[in-house]
Amino acid sequence: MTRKTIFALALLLGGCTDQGFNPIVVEAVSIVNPWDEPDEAAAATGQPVTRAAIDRADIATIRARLVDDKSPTYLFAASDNGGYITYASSLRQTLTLRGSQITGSRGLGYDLLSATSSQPDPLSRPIRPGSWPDEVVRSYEFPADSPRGRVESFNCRFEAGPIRDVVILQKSHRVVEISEYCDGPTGAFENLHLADVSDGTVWRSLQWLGPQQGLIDLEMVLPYTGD
Amino acid sequence: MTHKPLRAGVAVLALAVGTVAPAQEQPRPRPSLNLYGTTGLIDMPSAEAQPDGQISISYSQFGDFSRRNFTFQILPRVSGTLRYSTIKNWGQNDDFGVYDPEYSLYDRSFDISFLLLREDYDGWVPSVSLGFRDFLGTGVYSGEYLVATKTFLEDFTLTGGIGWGRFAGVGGFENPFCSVASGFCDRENDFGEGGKIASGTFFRGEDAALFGGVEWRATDKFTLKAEYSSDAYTREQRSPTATFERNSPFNFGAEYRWREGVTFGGYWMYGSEVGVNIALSGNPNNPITPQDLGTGPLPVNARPDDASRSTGWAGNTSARDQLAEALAEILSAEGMRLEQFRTEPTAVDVVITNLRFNEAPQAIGRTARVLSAGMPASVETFRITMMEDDLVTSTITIDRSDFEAIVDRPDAGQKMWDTVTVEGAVPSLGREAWVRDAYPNLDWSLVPAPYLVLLTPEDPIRLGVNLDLGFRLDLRPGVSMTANISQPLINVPDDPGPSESELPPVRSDQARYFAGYDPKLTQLTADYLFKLNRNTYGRATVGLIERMFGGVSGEILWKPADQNWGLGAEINYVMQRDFDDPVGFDYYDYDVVMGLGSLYWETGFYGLETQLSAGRYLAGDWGGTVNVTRRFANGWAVGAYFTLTDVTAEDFGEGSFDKGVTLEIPFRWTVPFETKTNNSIGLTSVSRDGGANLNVSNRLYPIVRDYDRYNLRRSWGTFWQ
Repeated sequence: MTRKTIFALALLLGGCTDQGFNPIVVEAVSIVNPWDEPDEAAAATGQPVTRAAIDRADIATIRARLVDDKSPTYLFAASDNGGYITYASSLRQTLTLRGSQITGSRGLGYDLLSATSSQPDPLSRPIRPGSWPDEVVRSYEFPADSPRGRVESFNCRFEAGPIRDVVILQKSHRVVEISEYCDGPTGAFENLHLADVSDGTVWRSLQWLGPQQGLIDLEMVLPYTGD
Repeated sequence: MTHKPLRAGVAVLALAVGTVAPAQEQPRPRPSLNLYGTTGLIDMPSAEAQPDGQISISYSQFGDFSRRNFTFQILPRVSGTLRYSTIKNWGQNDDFGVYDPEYSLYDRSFDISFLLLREDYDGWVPSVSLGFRDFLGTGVYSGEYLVATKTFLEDFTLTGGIGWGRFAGVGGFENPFCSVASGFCDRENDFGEGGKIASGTFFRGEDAALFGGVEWRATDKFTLKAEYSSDAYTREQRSPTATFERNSPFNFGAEYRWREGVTFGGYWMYGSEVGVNIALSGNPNNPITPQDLGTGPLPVNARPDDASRSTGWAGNTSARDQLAEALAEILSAEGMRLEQFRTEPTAVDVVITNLRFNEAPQAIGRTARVLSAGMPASVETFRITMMEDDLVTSTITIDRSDFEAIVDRPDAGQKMWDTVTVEGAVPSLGREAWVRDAYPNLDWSLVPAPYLVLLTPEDPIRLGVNLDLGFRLDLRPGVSMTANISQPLINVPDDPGPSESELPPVRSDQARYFAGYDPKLTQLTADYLFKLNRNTYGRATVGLIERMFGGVSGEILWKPADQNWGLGAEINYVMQRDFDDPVGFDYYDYDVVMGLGSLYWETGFYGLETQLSAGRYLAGDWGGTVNVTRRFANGWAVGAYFTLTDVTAEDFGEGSFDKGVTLEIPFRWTVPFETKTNNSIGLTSVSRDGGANLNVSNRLYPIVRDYDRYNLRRSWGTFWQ
C-alpha cells in the first residue's frame, strides 16, 4: 500500500477524540518505511556516520538494507541471549544474528520468527573459506496461527567465486564471494556472502528473510565480540 | 532446478540487490467465479474450490437479471453463498390480485457446495463437487449438480457436470433417480415465503441434463471462457414484457483480473444479452498490507548472574509507587495502559489494558519484555492480567527464568507457551495494589462513521456516512455511563412508514429509526461490569440500550479461562422507543420481559465457534438460536445464524424464520500498523420481528472471548513479535 493510499484512508476515517486525533490517523501519519529513511544515525547527529564515530562508540554495529530500499540503516547491538545478538535501529526495528546468520527480524514488514541451521554453518560460526561444508540445511519459522510458526526448510549448497576487496564504512576487507543456492519443498532462493579470506568472517551478505520479505543486504560494521 | 550464479565483481551486490528476487514457486491461480458468485464458468458451476477462508462479494447483471453474491469458503471443502437477485419483468399478481407483467422479483437464495475430490494436478483425478443452489430460498434458482473439473496444459480447465432442477432445463434426459423411485420424477419448486431447506426437491424432476465448458487462462490477467448452459430460463421469459430471450445455450466471456482480488468480466449470454460481473475477493489469511511493519519489541537481556536478588525493595510502598509510575510510562509507549500493579518479593502482578495490538499475546509479550527489563532481579514471576472494557479477564503467569532462557532462541513461541499458565483473573488485586488514579474520567470521540449495506434488494451496495459523537464517563472500575449520538450525513433513507407485521414491530420498523436527518440518540446507558470470582462475570445496564429499545438488562457469564465452553444468561425488561422522539416510549406502548440462556463452545475445529441460545425474544416469542462463526486468529470472523421460535412462518413473513450472515473485518488487516478497530457488517437480509434479540453493546462473552486458553494459543505466535 502506498503512502498516498494510507493517508487517504486515514483522512477518510479521520476524526478526533479526547486523546487528540483519531489514533488511526496518528498512526498513519507517523508511519514510515524505516529503510527508506536516510542514514538514521547521521540524521540524529546531523553528521554522516564515520568509522571513527563507530569506533569511538565501541558498540557492535551492523548496517542493513532491504533490497527495495535506497539506503541502509544502522543497527546497534542491544541484547545478547545465549549468543543470539539482537541489533536495533533507532526506530526499533530489530535483527537477531547468530554470528552473521540472521535468525530473526522484527518490524520490517514480515517477521522472521526464528531460523536454525545444521552445523557446521559458516554463517553462525566463521570457517575459513576453503573449509566450508558443501551443504547446510536451513529452517525458517514464519508467523502462523499457533504457538509454533510455519517452518520452511531448505537444502543449501555453497559455491565459491572470485576474491576481491570490499569496503564497509571506510574499512577494507579481503573477501571471497560465496554463493549459496537453497532449494526446498516450498521454493528456492539464493544468498550471497562475502567471507574474509583469512578466517571466514562474513563481512557482507545478502540473506533471505522469507517469501514475502525477500532479501536483505547485511554488513558487519563493527562485529560483536561479547566484551 | 538450475541456478544462474550471481554476477561476480564489484557490481555483484549492487546488481543483486536490485534484481534478485527469491525464486519462490508460484501458487496456482485462484479459481474464477461465475455470475452466481460461486466458483465456476459463466452461468454454470465448476468443481474447483476457493482457498480456505476466501471471501468474495460480486455483482453480476445481464438482461433482466442482477445478482449480488456473498461467497465464503467455509472450510477447505465446503463453500457457501448468500445471494440477492433482482429479476425484472418476472410477472406476478399484485396485492389486489391483478397480474402485473412488469413485477420485479427480489429473491434471496443460499447455495452450498462440497468438494468431494481434490484435483491431482500431476495425475488424472479431477476435482469433483456436489452442489446445491438455492436450497434455502424461494426455489427460483433451485438446482443440484455433480460436476468435475480438470486442468490441462497448465492454463486450460475443462468442466462437465450433470444437474437437476434449474440445471435440467434443456437438453435433458430421464432423471436416473426416477428408476430408483418414481417420487424422484416430481419436483415442486414453490416454497412460499422461502427460508426452508428444500430437501424434498433434491435430485428430483423428470429430467437431468449435462452442462460444461472450458476456461483458458490466457495470461495472468486475462481469462477466456465458453460454456454450454443447461438452464432454460423458462419462467423468466414468461411475462409478456420480458425482454430476455434465450436464443442459444452457449455463453462466452472474458475476464480481466485488474489486481489480486478485483476481477471484471464481460460476457455474451444466451445469444442475446451482454453480461457483466464485478468480483471483489479477499482472504483473512492474506492481509493486503505487511502486518509486521513498525516498532519491534524491546530487546531484553537476561539478569546477570551476579545481580543482587535482594527483596528489600518489595516492602517499600514509595519505591513501589515510583516503579509503577515508571512502568506505566514505558507501557504506555508500548501501547498498553497499566491499570493495577502489585509487588511481592519474588513476583509482580500487573493489570493492563491493551490499547494497540490486534492480538492479545503480542501485548502480553511486549509487557513481559518491559517487566523483564525493568523489574528488580529478585522478581521471578510475572503475572500479567488482561483487562478489557474495565473487566479483568485472564491472568497469564510467566516464569522469568524461562522467559530469559527462551527469548531470541529458535522455536521460542512454542517453548514459551509450554511454560506459561492461563487462569481466570481474581476480581481484585487487593487494597495493597497500586491502582491507576483515573476516576472520574471522560472519554469522547467524534468520528465519521461510514457504513456499508450489502445485498439489499433496492441497492446492490449502499454506502452511507454518519457522524458519530460518543461520550464515556468512567466513575470507578467497572462503572461507566455511555452516550452515543449519530448524525446522518450522506445517503440517508426516508421513513418507509409502519410495517404490516402481524407481530409487534420490534424490528420490522427498524428502517424508521434510521430515517431522516435528525440526530439519533443511539445509546444512553449506565453500565456496571464486574467479576464475581475468577470465572464468573456480570453486567448490569440501564437506560436507552439501543436505537429501538430502552430499559434494564442484566447478564451473567461463567467462562473459565482454561475451558473451551461457557454458560451465560441474560434477562431484560425493555420498552420500545419512539422512532421520532429521542426519549419517548409512547408511540408503540410496547414492553416485554425477555432473555436468553446461552451455551458457548469453541470447537477447536478450523476456528469454529458455536453459540446455542434459548429463551424469549423481543416480540414475546419463545425459541432458540444457533450461531456458528468461524473466527480467524487475526480477528476476521464469518458467521451464520438462524432462530426458530413459536412464530409461524406465515406470521414471520418473507424468509419464514430469522437467519443471517455476519462478517467482522479487523481494520488491522487492511493497514500496515497496529490497531484494534474492527468493522462489523451484518448481512441479515430482512428485518423481521420473530426471533429478534436486543442489541447490547457490551455483552460479556465477546469481551472475554479472546483471553481464554484456546484463543490465546491460536495467536500465541505473536508473543515474541
